[in-house]
Amino acid sequence: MNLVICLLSTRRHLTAAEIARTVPGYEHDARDSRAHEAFQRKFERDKAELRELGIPVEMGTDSILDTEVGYRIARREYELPELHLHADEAAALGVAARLWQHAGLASRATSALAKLRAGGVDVDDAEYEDFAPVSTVDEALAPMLAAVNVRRVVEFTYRVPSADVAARRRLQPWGVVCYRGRWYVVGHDLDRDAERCFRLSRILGPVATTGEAGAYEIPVTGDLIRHVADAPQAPSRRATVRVRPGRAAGVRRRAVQILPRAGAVDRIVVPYTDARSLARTLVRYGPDVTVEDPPEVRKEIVALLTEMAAVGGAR
Amino acid sequence: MSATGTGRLTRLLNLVPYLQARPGILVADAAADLGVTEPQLREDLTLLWMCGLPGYGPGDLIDMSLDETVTITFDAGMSRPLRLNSDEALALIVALRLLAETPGVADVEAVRRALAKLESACGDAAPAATRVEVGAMAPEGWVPQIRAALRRRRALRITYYTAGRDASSERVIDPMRLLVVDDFTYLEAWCRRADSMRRFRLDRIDALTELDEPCSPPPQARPGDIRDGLFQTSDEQPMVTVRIGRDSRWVTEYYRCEDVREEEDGRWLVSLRAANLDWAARFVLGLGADAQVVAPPELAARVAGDVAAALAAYDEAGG
Repeated sequence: MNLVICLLSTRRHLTAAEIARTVPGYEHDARDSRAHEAFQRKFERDKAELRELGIPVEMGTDSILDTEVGYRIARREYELPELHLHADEAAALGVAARLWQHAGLASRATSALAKLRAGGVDVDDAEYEDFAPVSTVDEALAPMLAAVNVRRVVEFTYRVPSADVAARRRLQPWGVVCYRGRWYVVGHDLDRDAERCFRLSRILGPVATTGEAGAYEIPVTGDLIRHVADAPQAPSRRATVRVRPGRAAGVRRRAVQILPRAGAVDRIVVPYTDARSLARTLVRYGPDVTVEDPPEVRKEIVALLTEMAAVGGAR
Repeated sequence: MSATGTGRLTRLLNLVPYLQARPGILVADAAADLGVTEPQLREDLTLLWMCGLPGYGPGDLIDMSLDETVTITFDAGMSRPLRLNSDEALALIVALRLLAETPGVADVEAVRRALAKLESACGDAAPAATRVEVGAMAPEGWVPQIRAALRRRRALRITYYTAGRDASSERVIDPMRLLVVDDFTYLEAWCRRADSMRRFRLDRIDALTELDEPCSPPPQARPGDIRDGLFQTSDEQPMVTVRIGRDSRWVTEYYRCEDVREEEDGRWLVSLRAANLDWAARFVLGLGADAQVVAPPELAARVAGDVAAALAAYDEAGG
């Protein structure tokens, strides 16, 4: 603490010897080589600790006549700029800080909030006490973001469920996308020489960085999401299905229209986009649901059932 | 130095500007706000008295008036906290972005204003966060109505579809907490029909009305602990084993599986706990010809029977 205050309060760079003479805890007899070495080790350790906390300890000299480097902390680099938040903005920050389930991100958000509080921001998020947003993130997120930030190539083992073996991939990461709650990295795949996106949950093991920082440029086109998102299609077609009384609530709740019954059987209209995927949905309900119309869906579902019966028969 | 040493230094660096911004704060209030015990805070304050500017005389050391309240009278130049480092900036900025894209939950305008101010205060620490894009989070659904009911502390009547039983039912619930987890939003509530806590997925609520009755969950009603994941399976649920082909491997990402074994022909043997055998039958039928039931035998029979009966229904109707 005293070292921080000392280095912040000085305008000129202080040499290690000056610091040893000034700051309590460092005093020693510089002529005693063992004591001096102990001081040097302690000073190095403390400096490393300060840097680890993000404290900008500068090294330098004040004039060309100085033969020994000195240290100081530039106040401008150290201090959090003034930040005036309205109560509703501060409350939003409070909710945001509770978002992460991932321990690493959670502790960073907490320490960030502690600094903002120290900076005079009063965080009262009682308004949101009945609300718990949670984001579960993948282990690969933090290293991936760090790599994007310094533009370094990453290497990782990736496995999509349809592949039989995991593959080693090399990527120039451009950015990270969270789409529908799932995390992806988008970038230039060095082995395929093409733009690719990877789902972070499919990365096995650690993400390694290789090569130099600033190794590539990130295209300025932006819009990483388009690599991940599939264009949503509004269902434009309609199918009429028959549902046994009291059955298949999961199909009934999709109904956009209820038709007159056929005997004891209910008839409803459900919207769909693709005949095959509707058939796949309806087949889940077995004999409780049958398709009346259109023929394309009937054909799909009969084909599917026939195939399933054949597989079942082969057992 | 030890982790506790680093932790303490971080705390002390924050403490002076924190108190400087709040002269005369009660020590107990400050401790609660900072998330430390009062004795711990008093110990930290005592330590601050020994810190100060070189010279370390009476006019150089950090000084404060301290009784039940505390006021910093000399801060030795420590009037501002340390900047956010890039990891901290990222954690908050990305979280705010996620909130901004989760409609209906937080006040999106306030989130955006907070985001803009935070990004400018972070300066150089912010760039990594700008390469994070967020889209299509949990849909808005019933969120505004539910938040209003939570604020007014009113009970709700909902029509809810339970996928496990494939049934819709009406029930009166005492809403307690909204939970947004990745791409789904849940309402945690006391269900008066089930007489226990339930978690309702918003996209399965088909109707919702706020009642004049107050929300009055019994004292034992508590929102669940979600740290170990949202879904807990129990040994009472039937274990189902299915042999699946390549096209159905997605189930291992979508459902929590108890066991996944790869077989030599690219098929996977997947075991998971089902809510009940009806659900299991729908699950297996939905995978089409790509799945074969291995166990239990009654499920295999049930699936085969359903397929045959469904085919017969189409034959009857003239193919």
